[in-house]
Parts: sequence; structure tokens; C-alpha cells
Amino acid sequence: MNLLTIQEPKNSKVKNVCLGIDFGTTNSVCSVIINEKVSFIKDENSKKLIPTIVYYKNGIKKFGNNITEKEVVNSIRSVKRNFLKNPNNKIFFDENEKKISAIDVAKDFFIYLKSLCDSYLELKGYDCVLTVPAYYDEKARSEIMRSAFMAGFNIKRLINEPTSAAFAYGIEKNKTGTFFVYDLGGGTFDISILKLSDGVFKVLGTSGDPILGGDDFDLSYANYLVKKNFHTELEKINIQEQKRFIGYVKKIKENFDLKNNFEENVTFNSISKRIKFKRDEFNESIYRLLEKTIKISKSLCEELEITDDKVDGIILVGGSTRCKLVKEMLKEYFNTKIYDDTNPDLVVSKGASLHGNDLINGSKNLLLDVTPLSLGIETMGGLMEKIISRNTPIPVIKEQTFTTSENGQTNIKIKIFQGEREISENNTHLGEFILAGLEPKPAGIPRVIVRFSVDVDGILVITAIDESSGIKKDLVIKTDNEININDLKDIVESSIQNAEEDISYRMLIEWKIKAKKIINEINYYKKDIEKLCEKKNIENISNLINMLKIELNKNNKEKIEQLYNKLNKETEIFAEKKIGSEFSNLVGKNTKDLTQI
Amino acid sequence: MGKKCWNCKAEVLPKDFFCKFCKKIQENVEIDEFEIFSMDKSVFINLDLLEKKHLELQMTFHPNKFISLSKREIEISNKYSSKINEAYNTLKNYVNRINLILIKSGVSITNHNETYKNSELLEDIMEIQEEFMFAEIDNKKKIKKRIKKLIDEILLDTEELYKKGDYNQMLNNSIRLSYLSKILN
Repeated sequence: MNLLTIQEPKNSKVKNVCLGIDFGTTNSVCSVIINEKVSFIKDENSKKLIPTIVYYKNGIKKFGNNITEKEVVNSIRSVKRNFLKNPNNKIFFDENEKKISAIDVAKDFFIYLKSLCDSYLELKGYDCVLTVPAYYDEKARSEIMRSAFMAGFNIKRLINEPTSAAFAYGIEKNKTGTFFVYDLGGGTFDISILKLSDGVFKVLGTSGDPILGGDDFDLSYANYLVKKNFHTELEKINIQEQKRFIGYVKKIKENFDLKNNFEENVTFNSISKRIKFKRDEFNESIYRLLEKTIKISKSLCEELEITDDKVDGIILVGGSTRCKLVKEMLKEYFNTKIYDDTNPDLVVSKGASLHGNDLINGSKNLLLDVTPLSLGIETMGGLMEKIISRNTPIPVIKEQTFTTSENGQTNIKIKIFQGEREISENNTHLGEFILAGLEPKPAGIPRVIVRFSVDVDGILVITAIDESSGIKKDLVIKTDNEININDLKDIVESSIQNAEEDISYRMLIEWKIKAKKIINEINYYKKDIEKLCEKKNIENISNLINMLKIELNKNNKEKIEQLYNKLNKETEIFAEKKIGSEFSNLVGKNTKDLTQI
Repeated sequence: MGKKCWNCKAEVLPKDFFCKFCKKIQENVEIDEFEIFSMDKSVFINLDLLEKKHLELQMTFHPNKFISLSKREIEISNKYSSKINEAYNTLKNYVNRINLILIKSGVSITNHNETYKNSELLEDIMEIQEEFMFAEIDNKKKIKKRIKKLIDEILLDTEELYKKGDYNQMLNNSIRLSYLSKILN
């Protein structure tokens, strides 16, 4: 029998801390509040800014500042940008030439960040606040959160980057009033309008462009330079050279922070030349991109009915706001005070750790945020019906009743979208779920209440209740998502005591995920199992599930693995029978079962 | 039989959000939108007070304030916090506010937009809408002012109707208001 052992914390500097993680497109920053002071976690090279770059080659992985300039060309940069479109697609190669997804790359990077934080804090199990772009959709949000969870970070809250920055700013400089947060990072642009008063940070609205940032400046300026000085097109050159040159431009443009014009010897595609760099030309190449950010900001003002005279200032966030043209244009279009007296690279992480500190120690401050995009479902004719409109304060719960359109229909399929367009297909498809196991009744009789809940993290949770015949019962919802983010949260939280052993801790998390998945799967097919399997078989499955559920609250990886394998074997019989029955079903008449509402 | 605290089993009153003894947050307390914001049911409300009360309530019920407590308490706080946000959104907007008063007075307001689409009720509003659509920018501003004035008049009238208990006319006003506010947006 295992005795409960209480471990004395090793000579730790701190006990109760909450890390703030800013996982950026270009750079990532981690910070923590210790004795009411912000400390930034430094890497092996004593740098606070950790480039979000991962290098895989010949069995080794390297990260951030450990990657040499030569290796950068063969590295994965700006992986965060992949979170907007199918982050599950395996488009990268790891150190063993195995195909991996953006989620895997981000997970590896988070593991690296965690190792830095662990050794700084001399601590393994601690809470974190993770920041995400305000204008990210629900999918990108939860997938980034998923990567961080898989790396073993115990994420207590997800907060929006501009909100986080405003929080740090408001607390430090004791500001009250209506403020814009103009956040232009490496890959994303966010604009949020907040009201600050007596420790309350209320977001009135948010907008942005999730694929506009410093990376686009670099590309645009690189194109310009190649055309002007080498009389060719950047995209006609091999991809390695393109990457190298864009990386060079990224560095060179920083010179404009200090001087208007300068000269340098430049090599491009094996041709060397002395080139004059002029600020006017740089400005010209990025003007259109910045104009877009101004347009987005202006239309948010209109939407919220905020006139220029009501704005007390614009807080600048994100490395790309260092560019002088940004300030010039904002001054021209908004005629208000610009606050740039804090490091735009560090302020987001700082806000996250300040907020984290408030969360675990309690405080009089309050952050109130909104949903950036409308959430809805597809109705007849492929139109989007909004259920939760954009800029609604979160948390929010909305309920909608669904019914069947065919007699005897036992399933209802619901497609969920996020965005502002009328045709649902033009919005982001978040997923679909099937309400299964309804009693066969005439069309229009069953009543299923579906609850759409956006929690404080901006994560959507859907639950359904079958209200027909007055009996409330929870329906099993099948989504295309692997495992519910809240289940993942529970798994990481319940395993945290095991965090001392880094590798086995992550293995434990992985096994728990597997176990949770198989339990969900079996629950979904419960009725079929009862129909197709023998009594003994059903009993075994049910016993194994109960045992596994108990183990999920404990931290014995071997036990979970063992039970999982047994359960897998026990359900094999069912799987075979199910395939057989599916064929016979085809001949039957239940083809209309999946009518869409 | 009275309601009991889920934690310490002490008796709690139906409108107690917290147990008097163990201080734990209680489930399923019905929230009346006007009541929770300490306001009288009325067409006109004090928006500054609404704002202030909203923040005060979120200071108490926001899930961030419960983050270190049990899962159950976090879930309860999430429900209240959501309901408070929804009530705030409803009260903030005059059309939603009037509709809420109507619902609370037992009037059914579903699908009324369809029924009245072409009736004479909206004739003058349709005219304004047309005028607005084809107006020049300067003129648009003038029309907007006119619309806002009209809205104020209807709101005053609605308040009178509410005092008299004339819900049918109130419903008509609410339909007219929702059309007018759509033109403004």
C-alpha cells in the first residue's frame, strides 16, 4: 500500500506563484511576481526576450537564442501563425524527420520555456496565466492552450494580450479613463478599447487582424528592396535564400529607430552590393499595412460610438509599434496622447503575471473582457444565426431550443461557426456535434436545449439537455475535437503533484488523455454496446471504466496504462460487431437519421 | 421545506446568494434583472447607476474571485456572472428593456416583427428610413437627430402607457423603437 507522503518543498525561493506567459509570434516572454516585484525569466544567455524559434535536425532540438544564425534559416519561425488555420496539419518535421503539427512544435517550445521557468523558480508545480491575441477565434485559443497544457503548464487563465498590457499599464501608472490599446506584434494586430477606473479594467470592445504584423512589414520591405536594388522578384529566388534575406531585413529595419538613412553592403542571391537604406522608402512599403490598422481602429470606435474626444490616450504594445511611422499615423488620425513609455515587448507578460498574482492571492482588481467574434450556428440555406454577438461581456451563457425535422429522427446535427459574415461557410467552422439518442417521436416534438457558454477564458463549452417528456437528461455530444479542453485542464491540474519528475509527469498527462478519450468514445456508443455485446462483456467494460475513472484522479501511470489496454481489448469485440452491423444498417431505412437542422 | 446550504446544510433564504454560516455561494438563486441592479421596473433607468452596479456585482460574482475554491463554487459563480452580464446587456438597451418589462407583465413578444411588417404602424418609419438611405452625409446627420428626437418621444409615451397598464400599445411602441434603432445602426 502506498502511504501518503508529504514532501517538504526543496529550498525554493517561493511557494505560491503564478507565471505570466506571453507566447508571441516573434518573441516569447515569461515573468512572475515575487515579493510584489516583477521578475522576468531569463534564458541560458541571460536574455528576457526568447525568440519563438524551434530548430530540429539530426536528432537534436534547439530553441530561441540557442539557435545560431546559420541554423535560423532551417528553423521553424512564427509557428503561432499556423494556429489560425488547421494547427493539427502535420506540415513540419521534427529532429527524427517525423512529421509533426504546429501544436507539436508549440508544445516543444512550451516544454523549453517550462524548463527555464522550473529552474528559475526551483519549483515544478505552479499556476500560469497565458496570453493570446484578442482577435483570435475560439479554435486558435483552445489549440494554443492545448499545446501549453500538453507541455505541463497548469494554465489557470487565458487572457487577451491587449487587456493584459492595459492591466500592467493601469496598475503601474495608476491611470483612469478610456484608453485604446494598439497592439501590433510580429504576426497579429489587436485593438481594444478599455475603461479603466479604480482597479476595474473593462473592455468595451475589441477588433483586429489575426494575420497582420511585423512579419508582413519585413516581407513588404524585403520585396521592395529586392525589386529596387536587384531588379528581380523575391519569390523567384529559392526559399532558403528568401528566408535568409527576410531575416536580414527584420534586423536591418531596427536601424530606423535611430537614424533616417544609412548604407550597408548587402548580399542577395550571390550578388553583393552597397545599398542605401532610406526611411522614406521603408515607410512607403509599409504604409498600406498601417492604413489597414487605422481603418480597423476607426470602425471599432464607430461601432462602440466612441468619439475621439472621449479617448484619453493610446497605449502602444508589441515590438512593431517601435516603428516611428506607427506613432506618426496614430497622432495624425486620433489626435490624442500616445503612451509608449513602457517596453512594448515585455508589457504583455508583465500584465499576465500581475493578473496571475491577483488570482492566486486575491485582490480588489477586476478584469472584464468580451468575445471578439460572434458565435452562431448554421440554419436553413447555409445562413449563420448569431447566438452570441461579438463584444458581448464574458462569461456568457445563451440557450437555444432545437427540434427534429423528420418523423422518428433520433439524431440532430448542429454546425457551429464563428465570425461576422452572413453566409456561414464564410466564417470559421468551429466544429459540429451530433445530439444522439433521442426517443423516436414525430417531427417537431422533441425539445433539446443546447447551452452555449463562453467562459472567462473565452472558451466555448456546449452542453445539451433533452427536455422531451419533461425529463432532463444529459445528451452525449460528439464533436470532432479530440478531447474537451476542460477535461484537459482537469487532467493537468490533477497530475500537478507529480510535476517533480518532468518526463514521467508529461507521460502521465498523455496516458490520462488517452484514457479520457476511450471513456468518451465508449460512452458515445453505449447504446450500441448494450445492443450488440454479451452481458459478460458489457459488465467487464463497465467495471473497467469505473476503475479507470478512479485512477484518473490518482497519479499512477502504470495502472492507467494497464487498465487502458484491458479496456481496449475488451471493446475490440464490439468494434468488430459494430462494423458488421453498420453494413446491415445500410440496407435498412435509417438513412435520414442525420438530418441537419 | 426551506432551502438548505449545499455545504453546511444550514437553512438559507431563497434570495441568499451566500450562506450566512459557512459563507459558501448558493446555487439556483433566481435573478430578477431589475431587482439585482436595485432598480424599479421602469422604461427610464439611470445608466450610470447600472454601470456602477454592474461592476459591483461582478466584483462579487466574477469567476476570478472564486478561482482557488472548489469546482462547484467556480461553476456557480460562472452562472451568476453570466446572468449578470446578460441582465446588464438587456437593461442597457431601451428596446430590450421594454420587452423585458412586457415579458414580466405576461405579454408574449415572440415573432411580433413578422406580424407587423407591413402594417400602418411602421409607415412613417419606413418613410424616414427611405429618406435616410438616399440622403447626403450632411443631411444624414440631420435625419439622425430627428430620429433620436422621435425615439425620446416614444420612450416618454411608453413610460406613460406602462403607468396606465396599456401593454398592447407598449408592444407597438417597442416595435417602432426597434426599427428606429436599426436605422441608427
